[in-house]
Amino acid sequence: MFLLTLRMSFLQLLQQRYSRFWVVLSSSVVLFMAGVLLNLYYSFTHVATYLKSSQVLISYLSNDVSSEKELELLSAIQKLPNVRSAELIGQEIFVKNLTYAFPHLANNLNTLEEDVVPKYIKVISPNNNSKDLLKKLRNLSGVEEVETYENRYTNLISILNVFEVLTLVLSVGMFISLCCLYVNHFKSSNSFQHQLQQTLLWLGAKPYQIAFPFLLEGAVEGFLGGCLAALALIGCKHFLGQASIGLFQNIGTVPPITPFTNIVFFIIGVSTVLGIAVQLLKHKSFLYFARGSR
Amino acid sequence: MITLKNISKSYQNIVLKNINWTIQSGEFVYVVGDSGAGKTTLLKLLYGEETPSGGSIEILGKSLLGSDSHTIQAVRRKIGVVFQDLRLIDELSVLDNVLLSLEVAEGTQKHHVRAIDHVLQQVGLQKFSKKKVKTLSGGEQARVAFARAFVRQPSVLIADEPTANLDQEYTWKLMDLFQKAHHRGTTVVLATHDKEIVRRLRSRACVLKDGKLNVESSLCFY
Repeated sequence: MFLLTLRMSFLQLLQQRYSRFWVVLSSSVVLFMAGVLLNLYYSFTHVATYLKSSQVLISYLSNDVSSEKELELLSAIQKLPNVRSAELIGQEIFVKNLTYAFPHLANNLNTLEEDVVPKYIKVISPNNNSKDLLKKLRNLSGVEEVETYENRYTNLISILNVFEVLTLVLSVGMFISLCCLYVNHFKSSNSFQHQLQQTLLWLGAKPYQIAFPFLLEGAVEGFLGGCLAALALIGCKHFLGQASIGLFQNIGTVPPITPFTNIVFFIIGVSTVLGIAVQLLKHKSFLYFARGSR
Repeated sequence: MITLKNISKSYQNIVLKNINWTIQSGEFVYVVGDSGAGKTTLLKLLYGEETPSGGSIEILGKSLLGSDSHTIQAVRRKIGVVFQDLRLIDELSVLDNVLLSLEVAEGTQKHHVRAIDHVLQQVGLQKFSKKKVKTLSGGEQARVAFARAFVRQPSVLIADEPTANLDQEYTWKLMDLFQKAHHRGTTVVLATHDKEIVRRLRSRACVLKDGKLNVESSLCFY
């Protein structure tokens, strides 16, 4: 029965190949958008969580601090409690970063005098409430001023939280749209489906035997839509990844996250399950025959 | 084998009135009557497509009235039906249509190919086995419908005007197949309005007229 059912399912797919092609294509577009939104949601969540769990303190050094003293200060800071990492940004590196960010000002930036170019030690603390560390950094000799990103981060985290909710709501909306798309598509059964269903019924087929070709059909369409969306997501990630290498090479604060593979599998899985579920709802009468004759 | 007690069926008007009918195992019974006499309704009651307005039906030891659909499906798996409108799946091949019936009934592919080959040989459609049903003529399709019903070797074969759209040649070819099935011990219930069939192939004929079934007479009187 299984092989014949499998063949009938594919025959059903072939019967309405053009409309089915468009449904698979439409569902893949919706799934692609859902995938992008889910990726954004995870990224926003990750960045917000990271920012909440860490604080950046910029310890500006006096211009008269020598190179040896800079290294001594860096070593002393690294040994302080509540310090996750400390990085010395010398004047050369500062100008280099600035030149990279504003290449059109490269000539002007290279002519800057030493006393106007800051040098600092970027300290990252895992503790969000690091008043003690701030006090200790300010008391170090050679440290002119300590700036925290606390206010900037608070605003950024609020914005990220809004984006988190927004992307999550939109991605859920995409999945609801997908449900509507499948419901609408599977509702319009063709004559072949009707003929098959009725014939199986009169031949005395068991409920699952009648419903199975249709469940399989839903699974195949859902799976194909999910795979197309997954391919589009992978392609998108590849090209965006290539393009963003230069753009983000200086942003090393937030470690990269990799829920991408999970999202791709999630998209394929959800699409397949939705395809089956919608068909199941449509053909549930054949799975749970009512009492009395049909 | 098949027992109908006080069966009545009505839609807007009364189609069948107080029918009491027993068909013994291995019998060949004609249900004859004019068009619209209720032959199809009577046969539909036998395979559970319709429920009677009153009375009880017992087929192969199972009561159809009040039974759940699983019981009705189980009964359907044990009988073969040749529908008036054939109810073949046009997009499937002859082989697949017959195979479908066998797989629904038995669920396994063991010995299926041999059984299908044998039945297609009997109906003379072996060379058309790979052809889609929709490409066949009416007579060939009727023979596919017979093959589909008979391949399960059912104990009861119900046929509703199987020769309705066939020419003389195909009519007698198909009737020959029913006769062969009967000789092998299958109970055959065949509805027809073709007087010639009943005259030539003598057997018990039950006349349906004005909603009542005359089941007393044996042999042909139609």
